[in-house]
Amino acid sequence: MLKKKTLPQNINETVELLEEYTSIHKMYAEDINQREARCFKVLWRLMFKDIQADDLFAGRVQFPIFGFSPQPPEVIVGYFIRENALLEAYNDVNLVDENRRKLKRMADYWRRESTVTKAKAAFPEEMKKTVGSDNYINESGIAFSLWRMSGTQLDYDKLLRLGIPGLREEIVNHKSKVNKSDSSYLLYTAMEESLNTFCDVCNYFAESISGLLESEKDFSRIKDLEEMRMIFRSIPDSKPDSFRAAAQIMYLYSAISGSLNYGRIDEYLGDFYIHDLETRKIDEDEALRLLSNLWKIMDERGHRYDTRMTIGGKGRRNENNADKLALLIMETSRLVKRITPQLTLRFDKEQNHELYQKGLDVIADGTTYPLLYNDDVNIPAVQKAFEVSYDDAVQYIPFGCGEYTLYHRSVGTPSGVINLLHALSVTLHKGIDPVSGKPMGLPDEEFGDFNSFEELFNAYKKQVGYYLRNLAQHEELEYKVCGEEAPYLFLSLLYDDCIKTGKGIFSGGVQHLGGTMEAYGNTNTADSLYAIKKAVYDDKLFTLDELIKMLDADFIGYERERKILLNLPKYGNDIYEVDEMMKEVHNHVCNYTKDQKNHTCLDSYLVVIINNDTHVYMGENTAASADGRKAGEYMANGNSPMDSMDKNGVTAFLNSIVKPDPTIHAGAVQNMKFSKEMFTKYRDKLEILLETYFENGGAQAMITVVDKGELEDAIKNPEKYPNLIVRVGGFSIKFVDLPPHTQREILERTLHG
Amino acid sequence: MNGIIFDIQKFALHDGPGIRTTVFLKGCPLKCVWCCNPESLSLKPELAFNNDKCTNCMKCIPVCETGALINAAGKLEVQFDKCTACGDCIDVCVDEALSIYGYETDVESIISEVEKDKSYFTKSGGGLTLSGGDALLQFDFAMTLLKSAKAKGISTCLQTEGFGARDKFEKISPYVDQFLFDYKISNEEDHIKYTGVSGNQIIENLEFLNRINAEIILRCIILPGINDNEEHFAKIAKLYKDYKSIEKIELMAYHNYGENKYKLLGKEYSLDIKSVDNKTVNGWLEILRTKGVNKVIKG
Repeated sequence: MLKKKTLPQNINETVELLEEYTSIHKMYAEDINQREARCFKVLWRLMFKDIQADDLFAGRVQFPIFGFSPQPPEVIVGYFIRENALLEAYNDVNLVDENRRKLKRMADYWRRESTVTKAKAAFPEEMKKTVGSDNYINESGIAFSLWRMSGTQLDYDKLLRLGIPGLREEIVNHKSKVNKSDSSYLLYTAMEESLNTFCDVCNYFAESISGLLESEKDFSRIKDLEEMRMIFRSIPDSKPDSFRAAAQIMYLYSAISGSLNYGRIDEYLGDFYIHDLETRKIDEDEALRLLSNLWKIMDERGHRYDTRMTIGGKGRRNENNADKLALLIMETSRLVKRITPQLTLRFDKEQNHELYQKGLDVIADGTTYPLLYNDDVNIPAVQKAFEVSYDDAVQYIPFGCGEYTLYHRSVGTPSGVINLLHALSVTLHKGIDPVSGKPMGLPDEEFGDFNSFEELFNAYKKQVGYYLRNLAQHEELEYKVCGEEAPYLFLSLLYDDCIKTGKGIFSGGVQHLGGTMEAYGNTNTADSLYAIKKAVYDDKLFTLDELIKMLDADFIGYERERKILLNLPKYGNDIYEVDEMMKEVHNHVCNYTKDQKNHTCLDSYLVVIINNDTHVYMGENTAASADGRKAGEYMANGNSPMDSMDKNGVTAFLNSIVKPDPTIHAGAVQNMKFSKEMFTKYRDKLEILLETYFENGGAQAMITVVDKGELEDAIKNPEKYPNLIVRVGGFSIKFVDLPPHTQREILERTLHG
Repeated sequence: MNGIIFDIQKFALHDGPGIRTTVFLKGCPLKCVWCCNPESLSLKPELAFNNDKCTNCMKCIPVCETGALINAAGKLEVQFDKCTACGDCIDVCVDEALSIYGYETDVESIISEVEKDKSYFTKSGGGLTLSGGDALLQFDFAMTLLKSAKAKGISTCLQTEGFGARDKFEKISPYVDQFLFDYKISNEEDHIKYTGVSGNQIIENLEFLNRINAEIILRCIILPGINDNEEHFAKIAKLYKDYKSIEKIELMAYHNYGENKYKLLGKEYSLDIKSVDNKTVNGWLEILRTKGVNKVIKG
């Protein structure tokens, strides 16, 4: 029998705990609040890992085979089963037969009871047809569903100001005002229990540190461990009183909650930092040592598509203190050079200029961080897109790959993806997917003969609209099922207005229930539509049927025609006609999506053009397109021009990318690749370039700085470039860790300067 | 008004102050042996052939009406003297082995293209630069371009070889904010030998621009064995001292990056000197500084 309150040491002990967890889940089926709270009393022991040799913070986490999380690494959500982890467990030589049988029984249970299964069971027919698949990596298709509750940005400032006792008091206070029979009473009770669990975890770590101290000889390590133990002992009964304690409590909370973004860190840690500096509790070097260690632990947590950490910007309550910490945070990222946390700098014209300058220095050092976000554009844009007040919009915060949400006020998880280029391809083939040969989307009779370009364009719009409606309904359904299944207690505790309303975050508690939808292939679609308009309808170089034949042949035997198509104007060169086409494609998908809030219970539903590496995967399953792109080739990234198609210089590139309206979506990624020389020798001109871009309406910039020839060389001699970091779309990565097709895509991007 | 250009380069960092757009006009009165832009020399569009890209599909041969393209034992050969640069072969060349340097366009199109970057110019103190070749060879075209730019509030630079009739400089100077004036060789005999023209008129024009207080950046390319001598450095220093309009000297080191373009155009590259390293350039800068040129930079 496993000792109470220790972590399992082998697979059989793990199975024992999993069984306990599973039986609790069965036992408390009637009340989702009690069920989740009770589950966590066991679950934390399956989630946490012990403190490692050099760790200055505890809270390393892992994902069990069965568990609960808003966002496990596989694209699943809520109560989950991880099939890969299950297979691994079956292969564990130490697994005894009895436990193997138990695991099998539990797996059957969780396959029935997982949140995704419940959501899929609730799919109406049309949804099954349109977004029934979530396998966008291997299948061709117009739209796919995504499973996760990503992008939560918790109110860590509240957590640190109140501490666990203060938070408990607030809950007790609310609880005392409601009847025992109220549903909110159950929620408050479960919230209190969650805080008890959090304290159990702290007690566990305090105890485990005592164990470590017994054998520790190194004086400085003893000092660190003692300080860590003191922090864990104090968390249950008092609010944090030091920078180190505050960072620890925040990280531990993020780990147990499963929330992967770190909010406005300079704001919630800034006062602690300055206080400790002023009272000489720590100096800058010590703060740097602590943060560097925290960055390392965060990075080893994984999740390169998430882990946004935001500094700077309007709306911080303690701007001076926060700014000082922000500078140190940027220095930490420069020194540590890891691919996460994804450091994000918000700035505006009035902000202390030192922050922006430091940001450029750190970018120049090849970290890809901080990602730059222009408040002067983004705040009014968010106000309009989300239809919220200035006070809410000033708290916009990017999460994940670049979706905006409202800091601890809204959730806006992307629950679906659309491939616009494939939608065009299917439209051209009148409802047949040219990749699979099967019918797809709206049926044939919906389309005319495409006698004019407008007729074709309208058919494409109709096709896209059909999928967008289903995607929006899917988002709504996903929230609904998540809310019916669990209150997500640790998220709800730090989310407006869950405590106030006595409702779980996805059960009506969140102040602004947003939603987002990831759009891909926007640029290639616009370039293709322009090419069709120009070559087929305006200049009549060939007929539409001839063009479709060329695409079906993947241009084999039509090389000359492909050259004509490739040489037509492309988005990204500041050419009016084709940039207008981009705007029209953009306006259509963004506005149609935005309008879905009127047909669902969502407070907002918005497009994000964020891009991780999906543009590469989806490209592999997309036929040749009229912009000259061959079948299977990657598509353009985010809101960027197609690689090597922006031939008109960096100013033309920047002029084009500010054209798509930023006030109708929830974030668009703008990747840029500059030479190191631009950041050193021509720094003054580079600064003016970026400043003008931002003044012209540039919302954000994700900048990779590399030397000319460096990427080519890194493909040939990867061993020489272990630390060469590049920005793909919404995430950064060591270049040598990328698969060849994505390396190629990054290489082909235009290097400016 | 129409003219022949061969490139519009945005975010040009080396052609005057700030962020600029440089328009390259075709045609040059000088024939400098080291010229790194051989495609700029002729006033007319020219065919370029990249042997490395050619797959010898021979699809271009039947479309060529002048017989400039021939099949020489399975390899495509271009007889440049027969080519009229009509461009018909370009359309059928899917391997991008054939291309044309230079095209005809009008002032309005160029200015509207340049104007797109106005916000970058304003912020950085940049603007339009006319380069070439020597833009003054298409004088009326250059003049109209500069006038139109000024009318749009865009600041202007003119890069010039300094060669040509005085009245051209007289007429154009009101529309030029800064001259990027090339000064190549002090010794008259060498000037004729290496550039094909006399240097006297160039000095006279420089003197004129100084007299009317035009803003001048003197751009001096230094070539080992040709003009890296005491006489030339002393002359540069003297010009700097005498002509107060010369704001600074930009010293440009010779490079042979243009060599490949000669091959593409079917021309011979006769110069055989290596590109210059940084140490040598710093040595030249030092020589000029000791001669009292306090504003000299590597261009």
